[in-house]
Amino acid sequence: MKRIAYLLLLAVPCLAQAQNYSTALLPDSLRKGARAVIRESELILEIKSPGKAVEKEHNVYTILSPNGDNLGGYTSSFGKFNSINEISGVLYDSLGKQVRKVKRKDMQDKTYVDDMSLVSDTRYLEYNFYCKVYPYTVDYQEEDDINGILDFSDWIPLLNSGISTQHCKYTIIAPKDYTVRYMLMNGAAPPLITENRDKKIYTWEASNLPARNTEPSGPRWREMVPYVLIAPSDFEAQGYKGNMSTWENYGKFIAQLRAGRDILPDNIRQQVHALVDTIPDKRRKVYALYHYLQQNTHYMNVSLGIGGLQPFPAEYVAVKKYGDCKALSNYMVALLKEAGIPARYVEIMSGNDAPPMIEAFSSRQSNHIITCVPMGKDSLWLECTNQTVPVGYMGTFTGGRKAILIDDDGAHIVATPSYSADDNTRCRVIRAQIGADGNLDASVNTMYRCVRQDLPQSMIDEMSAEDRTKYLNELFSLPTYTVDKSHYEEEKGPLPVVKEDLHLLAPNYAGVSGRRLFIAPNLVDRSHKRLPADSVRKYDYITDRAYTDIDSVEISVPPGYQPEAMPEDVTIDGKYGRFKASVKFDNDKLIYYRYLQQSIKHYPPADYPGLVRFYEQLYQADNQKVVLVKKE
Amino acid sequence: MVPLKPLTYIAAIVCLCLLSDLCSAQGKAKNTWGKITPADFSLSAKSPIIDNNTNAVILDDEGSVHYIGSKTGWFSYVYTRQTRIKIINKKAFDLATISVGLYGRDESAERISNVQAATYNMDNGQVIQTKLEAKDVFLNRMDKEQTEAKFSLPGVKEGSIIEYTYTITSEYWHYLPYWQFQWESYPCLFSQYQVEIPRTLSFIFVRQGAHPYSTDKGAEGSGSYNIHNSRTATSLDQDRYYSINTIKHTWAMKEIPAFGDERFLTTPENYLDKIDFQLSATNDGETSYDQTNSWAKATEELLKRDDFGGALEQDNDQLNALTDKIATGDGQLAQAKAIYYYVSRHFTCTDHYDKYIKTNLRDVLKSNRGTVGDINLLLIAMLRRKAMHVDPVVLSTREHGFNLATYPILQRLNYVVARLKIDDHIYYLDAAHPQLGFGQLAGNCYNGHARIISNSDSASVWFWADSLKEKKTTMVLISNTDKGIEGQWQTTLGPEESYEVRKRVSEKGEQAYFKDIQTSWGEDMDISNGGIDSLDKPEEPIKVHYEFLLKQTAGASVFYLTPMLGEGYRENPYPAEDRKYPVEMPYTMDETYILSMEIPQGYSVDELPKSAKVAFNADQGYFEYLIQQGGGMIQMRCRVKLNRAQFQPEDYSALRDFFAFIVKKESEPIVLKKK
Repeated sequence: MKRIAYLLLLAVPCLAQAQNYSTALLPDSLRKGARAVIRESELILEIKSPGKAVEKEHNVYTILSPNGDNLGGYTSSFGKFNSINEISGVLYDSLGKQVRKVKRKDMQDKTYVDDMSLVSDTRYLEYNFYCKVYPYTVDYQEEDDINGILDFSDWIPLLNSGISTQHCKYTIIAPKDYTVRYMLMNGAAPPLITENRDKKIYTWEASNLPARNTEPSGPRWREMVPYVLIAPSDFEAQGYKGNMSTWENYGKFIAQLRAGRDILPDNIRQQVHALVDTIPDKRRKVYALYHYLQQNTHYMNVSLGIGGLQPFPAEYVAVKKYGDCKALSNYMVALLKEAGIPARYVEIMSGNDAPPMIEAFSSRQSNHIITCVPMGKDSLWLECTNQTVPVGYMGTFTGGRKAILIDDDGAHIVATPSYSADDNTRCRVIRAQIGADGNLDASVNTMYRCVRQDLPQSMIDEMSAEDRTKYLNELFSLPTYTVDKSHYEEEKGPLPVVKEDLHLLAPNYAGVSGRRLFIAPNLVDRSHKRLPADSVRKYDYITDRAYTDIDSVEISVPPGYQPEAMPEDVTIDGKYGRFKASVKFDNDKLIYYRYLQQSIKHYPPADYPGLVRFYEQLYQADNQKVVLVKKE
Repeated sequence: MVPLKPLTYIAAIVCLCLLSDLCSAQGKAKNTWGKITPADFSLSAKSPIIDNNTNAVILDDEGSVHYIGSKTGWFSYVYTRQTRIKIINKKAFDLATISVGLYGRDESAERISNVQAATYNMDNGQVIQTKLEAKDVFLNRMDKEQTEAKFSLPGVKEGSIIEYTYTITSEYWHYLPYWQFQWESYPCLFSQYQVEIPRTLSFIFVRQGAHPYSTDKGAEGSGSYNIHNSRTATSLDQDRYYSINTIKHTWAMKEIPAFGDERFLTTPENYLDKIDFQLSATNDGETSYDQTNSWAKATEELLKRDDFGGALEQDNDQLNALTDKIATGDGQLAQAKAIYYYVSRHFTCTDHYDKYIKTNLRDVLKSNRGTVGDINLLLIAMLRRKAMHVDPVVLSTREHGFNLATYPILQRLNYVVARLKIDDHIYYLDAAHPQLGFGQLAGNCYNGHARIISNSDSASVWFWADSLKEKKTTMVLISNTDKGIEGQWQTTLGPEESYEVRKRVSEKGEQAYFKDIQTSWGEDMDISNGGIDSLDKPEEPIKVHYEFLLKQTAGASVFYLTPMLGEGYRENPYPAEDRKYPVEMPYTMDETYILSMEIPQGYSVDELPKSAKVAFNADQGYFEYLIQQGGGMIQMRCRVKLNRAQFQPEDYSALRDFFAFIVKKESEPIVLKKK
């Protein structure tokens, strides 16, 4: 018996004990380009059963400079799914001498509730040593009991930009018959797998990884460094069981959470029929019901229950008229079902800068829910948490990406609509007069489409008329001006349009100097972007917006002037974008035309100087002035 | 819009019991709870305060406070609020989620009760009610002392009327809750506050705002109070019923417009229609105790408090040892600076709005962090260890609103700095902002009245924005060399901008700072040899300098050069056309730009902008633009100076025009022609 116990002790990994964390021992390779160093990062996850696990964590960070301070603090959440058994922190000075030690009672216990949420059953502990003497080292240890499993921590040995790693290790101890699923990304090394009696042990380990740094407009961190995606096979939480080895099984689990939650009260069912029964066209029916949803519900986060995964029943939304994305999408699906239109609940990663989905690895990869009405190529996509967004329009929040559509036989990966440079247009026509005093009077008529209409659309729908006037009077880079008339029209739909008519007065717009008039013919659409020329790039430069701008400007000037200096026409038609600008003087009128198109593209580092030049040409061309001289 | 008189906030302080003209019972107890008819949905009775900007209308907002006897203390107050709102559109849905702050813990925690709420919608001519369920009222613990009660009304859509009421019972009887009649973003048709106070308590009140009361009446009454009596030494603890005469008072306002949102305003808090209370006397049935505050009393209290002056008295070996270690240097000034910079650079301020010490100075020393009270009182304790003449000064920051020199209200003071006296020279110190220099205060401390809390030196001091001078001087020298048109750039910044540059450089580094400047010039000029002087001398202004090579189209027959180069105003800083409230800038400005330029070889000046000088409101400021050529040189000097930081609404259009002229003038180019 004694011998077995001894063996177990040897075989079961335990957290590394305190070492010497003097910073004198840090090699230069780990200091270079680093604001902080991970001295030690060890995670041991012991899976007891599909629903239970113990997680032990030990993290030691040395902070080299103030911009590494965010790594000096610690936060850890707890709630229905995990309890913190033990948590402690130690501060060391640069010599590795212990300065202070803290326990749970020293940490702040905080709530996640904010303006957008009513209540949450998850809280977090927070601590910060606020050390200002650099370098310093913090050492945090934590042990959690996990009760309810939906995902596992990934292994990412290089944590973030400007942080090097001296040593890190991730160990998963699982029952022998339990499959731990993982996927090696960007060249990450496979784990060492050993067995010990009825346990299977997976170990990843890495040492002495120099810091890497992100670059402006560069790739995302997870596209730059090796890491390992890790997820459960069988899992269980709050009495619900599932398996996520395939998207099909994953979808079945999500479907199970929603089962029986799509029942509408009678009064709502009647309203649905009253609304759509007389509409023959399926698409129009969807429009009507979506409008009904937008008119009758709003977003409110009530974070209770199973890990933010299970929607509140349709009946809850029917009465309260509010819910989070899950509840509102579930409700929308129920409304459509009542109208005889099959619709799907779709998991998606939202946000303008969401990481792409890893299709080959079925796991929780979403933070948001939307609704899809399948219609072949013209499927309609509905954002249910926004009361004003045009029907079927996804914009940059959820458009142009992969999502997980939950259906009767599990789940499928689908693509949401993406918007090209030809969709995202801004066409502007300006008719203006400039007097001899330099005062400008202009009618500015603009048509915005798709992503280009996002800003004016939100302005119409979220601002009061007074605030909108204030906003318009700060919008343009004109010296001093007043927008005295504004008018908007919206065409809502999957490719939405906003039409804007403005009238503005800009005293002293043109410079008057003796006999001369200085006029910038590009009134309101100047490029202000300039890139630092001396940056050395290691990674791609990514242009992340696709759009087309077309401007036609006609400016009448007082009679008796002739051009002294006219900007040259510019035409750029290259890999960085298409740009055209021209100005003519004809019959006391300046006729200006501008065209700019850019697409979403990755440019390798060798193209960077070309990009700098491209933006500089744009800047120069857009800020050109026409000089007119009074005829003698 | 009703034009506001300037400085309407100079608040009136009135004693509640004096003002009560004892008229017959007020008795306008209109109980309208839950009684909503189809007529209530139409806002057809056109009110001038409702227009197409209105997203919701506060139909009725009523609060009341009365006192009851307390089991644990003396009295408790019972505060009830009942509010009815018409939601016109989605932009006002936020109003349907209500958050009520509750203070205290355990038996002294404030309690919420009687939460009722309902939404009313019109459906086919019928009023449909959706009630809030009791289980949908959530209590969120925010920190040790604060709990939030939160609920969201069910069934809200555009056009809904919502109504809610709740009651708070509080042991903090000495704080009679304030009432705000005006709402920041929504017009309010009727707002009323009623208080009934036993004669044993007296309050004075502070009122502010521009709008008149429609009701302002007092009456007498009486109440029965069950008080757990442990105040008299003679009797045993026991419950007793007391019948006590009361003072009732009702204030109401009608048709209060939404406040709106304005830039360049210290804080709307200074202007909203509001009434606030301060305890002035208590009476235990035998003796009356004057509780009227005065600076003498407030000073005495603050000096005694464990979380303020009291903490300075406690002996602290650790603090003493640390002070002795760091306070090196000869003379008091050198030692004071050593202590100041040690504190400001080693401690992190995590709450800039709490003048008190959170736990104690030992804990602050240990945890390296604290409130502004923690940090600046620590500073004071350390300076005193070196026998320096130093005292705390309490004040209210600009965003916190005004405070009164005539009457101390401690809640209105949220900040503390140190006043150090060395050889008849006074220094004000703030260690809660690490980029400040010794003897400097952050801009938001310049908010009028402040008070020295001291046994010997108690007095009022004033920090006015008008006295804070932001002076900037830029000098540019341009000459012709074999490389082309070369120049030297040198800017000396004012304290605010110096502070910002120090902050930016400490975050991103000096190299990144100049890289940003180069990027902003693009291909127009190449900059080199950049440097920042006085970065590590926070008491001195920052000086930024670099050299540049102007890249001009070689050989152009005519070329146009704006003499301001990148400086000057290209947009009007006052974009809005009109203004309801004063413009309250954080400091006065004085910007000078000087250019000395050699005329490029082979060119002559064809046109030079004309010199100009305009005054702003006679002697309140001026703009001067002087330019001349001679001896192959162009000399230019441009100055914008404002002597004041605060401008009244009627001066606004002059201010806007003043800057419009500056923007125009500063954009004028010099025309150079090839000879």
